[in-house]
Amino acid sequence: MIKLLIVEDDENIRKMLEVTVSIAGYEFDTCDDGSKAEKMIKENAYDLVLLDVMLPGCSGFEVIEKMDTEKTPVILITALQDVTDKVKGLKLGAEDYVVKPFEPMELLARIEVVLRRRNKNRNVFKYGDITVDVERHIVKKHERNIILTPKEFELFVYFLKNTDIALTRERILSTVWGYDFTGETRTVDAHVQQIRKKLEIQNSLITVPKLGYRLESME
Amino acid sequence: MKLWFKIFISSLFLVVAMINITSAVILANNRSLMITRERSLAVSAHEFICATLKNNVVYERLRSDRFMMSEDEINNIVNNTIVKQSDESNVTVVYDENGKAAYTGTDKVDPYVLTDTLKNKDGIFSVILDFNENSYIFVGSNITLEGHKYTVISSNNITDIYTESERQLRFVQIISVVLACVTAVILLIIIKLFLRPLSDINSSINEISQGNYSKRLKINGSEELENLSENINKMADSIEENYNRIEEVAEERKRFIDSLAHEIKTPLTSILGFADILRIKKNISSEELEEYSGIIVDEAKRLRSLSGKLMELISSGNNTLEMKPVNTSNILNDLKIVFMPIVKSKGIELTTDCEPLIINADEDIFKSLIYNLLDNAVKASGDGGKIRLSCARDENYAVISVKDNGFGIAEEDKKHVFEAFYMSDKSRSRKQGGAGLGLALCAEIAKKHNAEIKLESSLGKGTEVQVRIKITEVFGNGTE
Repeated sequence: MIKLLIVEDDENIRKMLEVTVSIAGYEFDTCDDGSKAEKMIKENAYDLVLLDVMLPGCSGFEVIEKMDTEKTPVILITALQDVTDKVKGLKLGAEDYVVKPFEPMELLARIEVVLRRRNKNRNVFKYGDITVDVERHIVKKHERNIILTPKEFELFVYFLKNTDIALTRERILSTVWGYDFTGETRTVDAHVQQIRKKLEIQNSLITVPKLGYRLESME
Repeated sequence: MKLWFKIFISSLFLVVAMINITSAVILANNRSLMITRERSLAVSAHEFICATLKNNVVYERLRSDRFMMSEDEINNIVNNTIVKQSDESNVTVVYDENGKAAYTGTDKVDPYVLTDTLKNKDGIFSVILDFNENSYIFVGSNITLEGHKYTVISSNNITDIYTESERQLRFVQIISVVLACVTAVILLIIIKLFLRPLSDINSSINEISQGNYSKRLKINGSEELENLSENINKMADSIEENYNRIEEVAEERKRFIDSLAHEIKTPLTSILGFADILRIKKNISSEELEEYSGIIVDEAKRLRSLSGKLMELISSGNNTLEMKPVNTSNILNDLKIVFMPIVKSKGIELTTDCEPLIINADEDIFKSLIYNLLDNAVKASGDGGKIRLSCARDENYAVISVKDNGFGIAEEDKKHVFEAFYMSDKSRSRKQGGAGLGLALCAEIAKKHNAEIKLESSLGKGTEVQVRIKITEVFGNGTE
């Protein structure tokens, strides 16, 4: 199981982060103080640290300076939008940099990317009678191979990782196709249609009006 | 052209010119002296010859005991006399009435032309003429020998004087060239030595202009350069001062913007986060729904209060105040009434001690200043805390003081407390709903009232804030 450490001094934002990471099914510890966070990172093997920059005790920059970012990746969360701050954070070894305010799904996507980079992701998903092996790029239904295009495959994995979450078309576009993709949201619709047809999940991959799509969990 | 080069060239030129002019004048003077001497020598020699000629002719006539002598005889005598008297440089020519030479010493010099000038002239005549590349002084006079008229012209070769003076001139020229070279070297060294501080100054100024504002020049060199260095240092002082002030302002502004961003973004993050979670998550329990929406409302309220305070801060900078005489005891009593229930519920003891004084102020705004101070004092005090609100007279000023025995403020935080968004303890302030704008607002209001606001504090012992404002003298000064 993947375990994160959330370091944030504002109570409500900390709560929000907890809810967000639990949506994706990650375990977590929380902490509201820089020096305490340092200790916790040293004593536990976290897969990722979500680190606020402005902290009591000692700042997020100091925390990141003193820890081993090779072992534990860090995503900085901050209100500072200055490019120099961003550069400073990344130079100190942060994997990514999220500026407040942010959408929870954006944070999840970034966590996902960082974990994938560190090979800490789940590689095999099961959804009913469908099995997905992310590494070998294989989708099976009833032990029968289903051929998906690369984008369809990525899209389906994204849905699998976020079951029961309504994913907006914009978020899907930026996650699966990339931030600079200039295509229209109709591209998403077309791919969803294909996935539904190929995997026969018309009833569980549902359209959420005015938002996007949601893959219902099997239970 | 560079300054050192200009100075060098002009001084060198002047020195050489002066040497040459001086030597030329001296040489010319010298030569004219020699010529004058030579001329007077020539004249006396001429007179001597003329006298000798006359004597010899008379003597010969008397010796031969004759009454008259023929022309040939006279010529003979003339010839003999002159041969005895002549040498290489002194040649005398004697012409008879018809211009025929009675005697010519050499063929080289034939000053026959001069006979015309001499004709019918009395006395001695002298002239300097060039003849066959030599210079001569010709001295001539008319004499009468035994009734016959003769013109005697003696010539003196003075070429030597000229050649000597030319030789001296050449010598002087060579000397002056050598001297010029020596002078040039010495001048160059002196100028470079004198101007060296200038290049030091130059490189230092360059360094300053490239951003090393703390660099100062060494004061050395001649007086003018010392003055220059001192003035440049003064300039650098003021540049550094301004630079530091600007940097401070920029730093403060950056802190303000960072804090503002932080204060706005923190509630926004929770609002956006929870709102999005409510929107996209399936199966939200009613407890979760209540909690999440509760947080959204709380954070939105925080934003609202922040924007309210911010507006107050901005408008307090713009609004014109309605100043009128106000009694301080009224303000303090009103505030006491407002705060009593709050302090009671927190177990804080509030005492007031007020001397009624009349000040010129906008009552509502000034009240909010003291209100903010009291509010801070309450926040800083825990259960069993003591707050003292007082007003006393200090000469022409009313000193209103709010003193608590709460947390106090750390030494390094003191100078920032009047800056917007500055919080000495962030998490505590935020829990109490503060945005760090209270004292910034107080400072702004105090400034508007021409009042002085001062903060004394020590960590763990408490804080005292004093507002010093001028008392207005009105008729019937005292309690209303």
